Amino acid sequence: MGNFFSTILSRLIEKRPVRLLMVGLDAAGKTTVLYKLKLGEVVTTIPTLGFNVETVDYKNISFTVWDVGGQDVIRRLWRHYFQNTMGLIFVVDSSDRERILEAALELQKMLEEDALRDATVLVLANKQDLPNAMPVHEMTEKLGLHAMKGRSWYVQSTCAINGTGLYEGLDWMTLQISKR
Amino acid sequence: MDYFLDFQECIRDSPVFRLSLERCENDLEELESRMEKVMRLCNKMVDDGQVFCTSNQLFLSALAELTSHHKNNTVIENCLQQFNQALQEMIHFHTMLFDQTRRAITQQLTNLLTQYLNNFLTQQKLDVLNSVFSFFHAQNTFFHQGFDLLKDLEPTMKIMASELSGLSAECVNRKKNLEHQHLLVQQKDACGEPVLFNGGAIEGYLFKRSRRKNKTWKRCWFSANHNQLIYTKSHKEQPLVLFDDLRLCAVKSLDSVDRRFCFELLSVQKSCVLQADSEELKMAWMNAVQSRIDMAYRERVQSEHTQVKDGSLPAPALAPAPLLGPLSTVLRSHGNHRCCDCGEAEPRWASVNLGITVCIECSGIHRSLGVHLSKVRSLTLDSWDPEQLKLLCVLGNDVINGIYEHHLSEMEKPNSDSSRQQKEVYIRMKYVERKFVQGCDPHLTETIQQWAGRRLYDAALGGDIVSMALALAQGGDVNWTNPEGRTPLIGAAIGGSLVACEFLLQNGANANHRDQHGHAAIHTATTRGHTGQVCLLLKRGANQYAADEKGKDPLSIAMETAHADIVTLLRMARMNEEMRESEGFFGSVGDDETFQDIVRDFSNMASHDPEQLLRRHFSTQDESQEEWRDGKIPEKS
Repeated sequence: MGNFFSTILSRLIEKRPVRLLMVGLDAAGKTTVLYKLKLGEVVTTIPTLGFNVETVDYKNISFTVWDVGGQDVIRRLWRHYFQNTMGLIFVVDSSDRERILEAALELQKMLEEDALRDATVLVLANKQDLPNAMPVHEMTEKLGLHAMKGRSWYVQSTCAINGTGLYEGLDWMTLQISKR
Repeated sequence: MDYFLDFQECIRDSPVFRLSLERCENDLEELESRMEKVMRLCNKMVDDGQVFCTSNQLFLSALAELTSHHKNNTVIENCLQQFNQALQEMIHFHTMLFDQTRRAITQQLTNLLTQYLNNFLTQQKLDVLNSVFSFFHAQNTFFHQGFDLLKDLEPTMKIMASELSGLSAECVNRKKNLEHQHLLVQQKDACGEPVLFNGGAIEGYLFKRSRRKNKTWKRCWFSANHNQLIYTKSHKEQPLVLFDDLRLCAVKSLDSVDRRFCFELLSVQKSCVLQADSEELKMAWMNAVQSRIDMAYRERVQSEHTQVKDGSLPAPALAPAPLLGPLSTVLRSHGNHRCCDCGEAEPRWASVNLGITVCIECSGIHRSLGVHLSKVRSLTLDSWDPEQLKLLCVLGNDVINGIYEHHLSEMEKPNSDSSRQQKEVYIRMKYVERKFVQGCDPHLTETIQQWAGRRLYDAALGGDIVSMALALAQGGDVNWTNPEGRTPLIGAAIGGSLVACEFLLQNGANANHRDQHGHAAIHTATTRGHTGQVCLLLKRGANQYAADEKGKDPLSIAMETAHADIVTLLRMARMNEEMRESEGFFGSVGDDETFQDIVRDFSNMASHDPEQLLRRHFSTQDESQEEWRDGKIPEKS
């Protein structure tokens, strides 16, 4: 009996990190988002060759956030990071209207992957401070998210350099994960 | 013993005879004992000699084994072989000598001993001398043969001597080198540098923390090579692969461990904590591993492009460009071999809309400006359209710096060693505020804007990319309209320059702006038969359903003017769009493959071989006209 309680207790106390995968086209702002969450400040970045990984503690949950580079060649390696991913953060440059279709295709291709079938999808419509940025509803439409069935998704407008919207997005993610 | 026994006296058996017999017998006994002594000693000598020969044989084979590691030098090996043969021969001679000695002494003397007394007395003189002589003869033959043998070997000995002197000189040199190296090693030992090779490969000892629970540290030999990180626990064990694909690996400094100089290598599956001997070494290792990772990307890209479409993985639809050839052409032209903003060598990044190449750090700054100012792509990791590459070749760093750095006197241009902050300030002044552009007023007046806009339009019409870039830098609006409502893009469609079109589209030109007659750029390009431009405009999202003032859309214009290629393109694009709509957004991944192939073929042709498109147009006009009328364009289910 005591054994039973201790198992329960350890399960409650033990903070298993929640694994989040953050991807998106190149120059969407993934690395800036990651370090804004981790350090609370804007770091100067260069294009990510490979990936960055940090643990972010938020609301008593420890997130392991994997930020993988977005260049064409690196996109083909995204699938190596899919396993055990509980949440997918897809970052989009809202001001890059030209490549929104490309972004939509990449997202769509990824969501067809079996390894990601249970992953919660959070889209960050980033760079809202730039001129001519797409608002959330336009982004949702362009990414074709309404057609997506059987999966919880959310589009959050963000601006990584001043931090707007990042924690709102994380709040939503936390809520979804605690529901499980 | 010069006397014989007299038979007469013998018969008589006289005392004289008895006396002489006794004397004779005594002498004989003495002689016999001497002979026996000689024979005994001879036997002993021969036996010992045979033992000597056997030992000699063993000795020689040991000697041959000792010298066998000189096999790589054929001259020396030859000499040694001859020497060995000669020495073997000598053993043979020795054996022969002993045989003959035995025969000469023992056998002859034994024979003698079996003779009757008188016979013995007659023969003994001769036989003893004979045996002594043949013994001497044997000795003579032995030494003579030996002499001949060695004389024959004299040239070989000379060769060997000269080889030896050469070797000794070499040996002295080597000794010197070794001493020098020893000194170097001692010096190196003091600073303990890891071994860095030219290709960026690194090797050396690091402490590795066990991934088991006990967290013990073990010193292992690590090497980062090609695409892998390998380590060896001890010389008795096979090297183990720690990370088999460095592209999926990252390196991080680790300060939250109980040991100093630690860093962490991690991938999705595992992480590994390593400790270097000093802070410098740690930095060296981290830099080396990071550069190996960068290299792994580069190498993999190259190998992926050489072995086109492996078949196992369906190649992603957006990666058709063969990069290596274009990359080298881009880097060769117009100062593109150095970063446009800081001058660092071998830039691998580019701003597509500005038409420049930049280093990775400046590319980071360019990305922070936003895509409306600079669109950054990797020359090695991203796929490129032929038009984009062409833009980089036509413009390039020299041309763009000629425009954007015309008045650089106000501040000094940063170099590759400048801080990021310096570079950022400079880049913002250069491209955002455009402070160094000739004739660029920070307070753009209406007149200047009009003037620059018109210049942009005229240059687009004439296909003069450099003037277009200048007009844009001077504040010309990319969507400026002339009195007829035509934008520079429509002007470019009239003029027919593909690169001008691409330049405008990359810089934010509205592909669907229409003039007073309802013509957008795609209508104009269709009317004028500019196939490459139609293809490009379709790719960049031009609306082909828009009808002009006479109610004609591009397809009907193309059919009217009988441009077969354009009709094909427009029809395929329509079909593609319809298919996408009918299958729903998540039905298929992207565009139809046939359509992609066609668009790719046309853009390649338009960029590399535009004349072929013209010729096609005239020669195949009639046939294909009929073809599309018969509805022969293949349909896909």
